[in-house]
Amino acid sequence: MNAKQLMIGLGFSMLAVAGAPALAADAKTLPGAACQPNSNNPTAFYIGSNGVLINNSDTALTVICPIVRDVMAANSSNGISNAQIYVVDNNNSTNDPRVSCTLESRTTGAGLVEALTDNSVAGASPNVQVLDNYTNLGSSSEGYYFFRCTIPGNQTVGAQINRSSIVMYRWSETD
Amino acid sequence: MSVLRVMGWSLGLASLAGGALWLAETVNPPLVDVASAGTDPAPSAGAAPGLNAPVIAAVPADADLETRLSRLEALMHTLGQQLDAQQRNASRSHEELARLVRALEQQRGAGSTVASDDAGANEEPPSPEAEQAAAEVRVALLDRQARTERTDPRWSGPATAQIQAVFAEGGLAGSTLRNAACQTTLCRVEVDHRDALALDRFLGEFSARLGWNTHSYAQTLTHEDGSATLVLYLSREGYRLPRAGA
Repeated sequence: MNAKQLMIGLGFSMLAVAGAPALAADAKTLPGAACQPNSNNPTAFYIGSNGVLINNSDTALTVICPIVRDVMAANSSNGISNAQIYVVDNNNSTNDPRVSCTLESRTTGAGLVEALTDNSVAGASPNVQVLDNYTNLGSSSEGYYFFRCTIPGNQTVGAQINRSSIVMYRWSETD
Repeated sequence: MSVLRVMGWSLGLASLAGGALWLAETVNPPLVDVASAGTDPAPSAGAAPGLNAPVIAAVPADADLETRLSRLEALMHTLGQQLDAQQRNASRSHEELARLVRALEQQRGAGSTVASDDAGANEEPPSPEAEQAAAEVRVALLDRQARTERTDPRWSGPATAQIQAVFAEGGLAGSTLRNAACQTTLCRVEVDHRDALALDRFLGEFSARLGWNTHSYAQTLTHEDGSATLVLYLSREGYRLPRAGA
């Protein structure tokens, strides 16, 4: 192969790479600030300057965290290949409430396709933990996805108020 | 240095050299031309041996030389300006080329996005009838599994009790447990809700109160009075609910 052929081949290869659509398996993330309260009368919450959504009340807060869908086609095997949500569960009061997040797949008519739920571990900690029991969630053509999370309320320990939060979430779609 | 800049410099220098040669020929023609222009004159008296009069006549006076030098300098100045102009043109051409390359890349990127969106646009959302049919198939499959699956006594009893305990705590106002039954890998739970608000509260809080890491599916039947009945299927931790065609 001479240099000219090599250059032509290289040029076509680069064009092919440049012209390829974004890989569907590309992961995406959003900060907890993207989540919205589930109720029209939500308990107090605020968005930290770091983009974290923090429950600032003594009772649980439920939020809906939208997920951008890229792959619109649907069949029996595609949907969300995996997802993770990064949370802080800083409450171990009575009944040890957890941060509980359900990843839902819904049809265009809002019907449930299926859902996956994961919960924070027992106890209280200011450290971020990853909920990741979200693999191979099915989909409906043109439908949508979201996380629905319940965040425990504040726990006062001495003079300190421990707050729980949604830090961020991440997902990858199946092609 | 870019190719365009080298070309600009080369063109400018070539023009400069050509202009200088033209000027030299114009203001100081070759002696042979002078000689051929007329007949051979007779040697001047007093001329040095070996020197012809026309040769002596071609040597300009000092004033004439200064004039020619001034013209040459002016020409050099003009050529220098032309060279600068050509360099600027070359630079502009280079920038224009870079701009076109960027535009082409952006267009190519936009084209791939459009292609990706087009692929999605070809997908039609299922009709409400198709959605309903798919849901019925799914529910029939789950109900069949719930009926036919054997009971795991190590898990079935405690799991059912856990579900009942969530309702017994009284935190799910407006929602009443009608039935809960767990086998080996899944539970089927039927819950009545006073209204849509109670149903929404249940969906938001039940998972958190139960605390299972689970795969779930639900079907809601809304009644004429606004109340609703939810049939919820929950997998045992580490299991997944069956799917049609799986």
